[in-house]
Amino acid sequence: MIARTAPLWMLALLAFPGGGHPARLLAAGDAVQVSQPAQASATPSASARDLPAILAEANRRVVKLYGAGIGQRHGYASGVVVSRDGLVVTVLGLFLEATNLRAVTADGHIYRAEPVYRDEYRQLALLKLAGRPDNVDTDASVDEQMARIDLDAFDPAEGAEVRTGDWIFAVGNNFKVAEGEEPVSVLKGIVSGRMKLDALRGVQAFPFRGEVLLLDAITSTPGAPGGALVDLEGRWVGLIGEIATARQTNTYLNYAYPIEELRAFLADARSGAEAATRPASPDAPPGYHGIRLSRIAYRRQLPFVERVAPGSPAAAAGVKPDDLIVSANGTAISRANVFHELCERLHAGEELSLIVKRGEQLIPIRFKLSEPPK
Amino acid sequence: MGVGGLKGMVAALLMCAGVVFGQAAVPDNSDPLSIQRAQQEVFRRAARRVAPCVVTIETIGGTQPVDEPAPRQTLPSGPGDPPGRPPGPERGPGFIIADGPTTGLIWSADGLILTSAFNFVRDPSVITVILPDGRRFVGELLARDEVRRLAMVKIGATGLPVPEWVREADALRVGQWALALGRGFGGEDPSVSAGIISGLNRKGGVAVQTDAKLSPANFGGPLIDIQGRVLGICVPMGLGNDALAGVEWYDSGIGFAIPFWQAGKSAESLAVGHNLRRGLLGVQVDPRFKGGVRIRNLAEPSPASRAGLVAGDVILSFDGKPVREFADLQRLMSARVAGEKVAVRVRREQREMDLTVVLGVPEDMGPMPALEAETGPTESGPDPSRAQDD
Repeated sequence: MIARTAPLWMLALLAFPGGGHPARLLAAGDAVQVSQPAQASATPSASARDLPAILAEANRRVVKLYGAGIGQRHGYASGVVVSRDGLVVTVLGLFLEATNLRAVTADGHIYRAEPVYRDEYRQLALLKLAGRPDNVDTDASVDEQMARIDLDAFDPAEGAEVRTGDWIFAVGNNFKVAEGEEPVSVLKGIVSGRMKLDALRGVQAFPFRGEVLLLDAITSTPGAPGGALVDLEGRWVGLIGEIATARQTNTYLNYAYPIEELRAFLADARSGAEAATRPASPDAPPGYHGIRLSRIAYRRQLPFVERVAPGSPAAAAGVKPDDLIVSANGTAISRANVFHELCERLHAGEELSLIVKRGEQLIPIRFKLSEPPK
Repeated sequence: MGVGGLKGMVAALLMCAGVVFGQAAVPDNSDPLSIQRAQQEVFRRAARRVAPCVVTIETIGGTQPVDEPAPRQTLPSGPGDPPGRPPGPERGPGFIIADGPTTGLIWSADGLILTSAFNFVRDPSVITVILPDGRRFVGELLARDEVRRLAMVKIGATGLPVPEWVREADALRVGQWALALGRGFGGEDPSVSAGIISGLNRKGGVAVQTDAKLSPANFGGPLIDIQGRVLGICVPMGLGNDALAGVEWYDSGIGFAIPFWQAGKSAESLAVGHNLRRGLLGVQVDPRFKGGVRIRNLAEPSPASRAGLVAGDVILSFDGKPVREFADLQRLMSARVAGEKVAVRVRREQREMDLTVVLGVPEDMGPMPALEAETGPTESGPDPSRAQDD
């Protein structure tokens, strides 16, 4: 058993604020300290384990989560155990707001769970399992309670990166099919690719813009999010993301956070800092290009250049009226709003790389944004 | 790049395929996962071989009934929906086409790109095609095939790499691996979904079926075998005949691709700008009648009337295949394009006769003469309200 013999991701919660504040955001000053892995453990070799053994082990490291459901939002999810003393990574969701959030392990034990860290950008949360309800010692401190927890856990340091074409197995409680001591469902698929997430949840934008693993297993179903993705060796390679639709296709997106992102999330949780990989919002002034798109009142405005301000960066670079902007910084510009939204995020000094259609020609134009004129 | 110089790679692939499927398939008996490990590598090689021929298509402008995110309402579940699926993007006829890129496959070295007609349902005003090497071209939509859901785009490029196709129908077998490639999610390499061939001769014989996950992310992209040869072009196909039918089955494990012996026929017409439309007879039929299809009424003029059919005739066979009821006729006609000549056997007052119909499009037809009784379905569908249109 790899995880049992490997050095564990040692974690100590010092003076952790007691229960009763499940919705509390762990602030930067909170004393959460986690020691680094004592030593890098050896990569699991191609052992003689067969797939059922590997998947049974993965299943022991995934919990079923039950919380609050409101309206159409389901009140359940899955979670990945990342330390033997009961830290669990899952997706950020409404179900976490329950006052009686519960985690059920593969052996059927029920634990009280509390969110200890929320990452609004990645839409991930870290929970700690705070003692077994059937064995709660109210006099004991949280540390003492947690010290009694001993779970089978993934070691994030042993996680692996996967490539397009690799077999993967999604281990989660899709449609909460598994109950009590039943193991959760395992779906097979391959890694379809990697892409930067540009997704919607419901009708709202999903804030995370990092790279995710696309899967051809159907994981965008209630209950699966928060589940583990493992590879053929049984290594932890990803965490199934919350149900979302892709902007590119308007279809449900089957995706997982890759292990690097999960390690970064855990590092952030460890330092107690706000998620560090948020899109930059520096103090630099907004960027100015000098392009005005045509504003005829079509419902779907084509990104035609109406005017280029004389002396502006766009004018100097050669953008001309009647150019049709086809792409900006690698994003296809299907209509004027897409261009505006993209430019709003840019600051003075940043580069704008356009492809414009002029007649039947496609012309690349690249320039740096300036500060807006006074 | 050219497709030449692939011989060594093909040899390597065949060796790999041997590793996967050959008799002494397990090189390392101590490793129970050696087959799966070999499969991963084969998948990657197959995808790499065809990737240089898989292009990105971007469209700008065009019509869209609704262009904002799906309305917040509970939508009827599609057949592909597992129970309890949350409300999400609208499905079926109301499916909202996203703004993202779509996929096409190089058909000829001189710039023909074969793709799915799904990618142009908006009638975009500008089409650009991005080759895997990053070069970008303005594309011209030459024509579409309404039956096979294909479309052909022309770009001003030469010397393009053309993929190898599996050309023989009997080379495909249910159960063989099939990988679907697409560029709908962007990124450097096409996305890959792995499945098998689930069925042959589907949708009136125009399509093969796969359980690889097909969606707007790979409609228009190739379905390939593990040697990287093209088995077909992925297209949405469902129960209906409209351009979006089948989109509601996306990612469901029920997907379709147009194989070479169908795509090739289609491409000949599309390449010269000739649209292929669904072929119609121009008749209204009695839906309750069994033992054939009884014609209640004919448009005048119409392909049926030109062929000599009259009201009261009972169609017994279509293209040599027996017709027992309306559904048979609908299925047999689903794969027929306008302009095709089809032999029809009918019974008229105890006498059987063979006629030849040249199928047509609605524009070839006059109005349906008014009938005193209620109207029946036309051969294009069971909806009587469409009788006037057809």
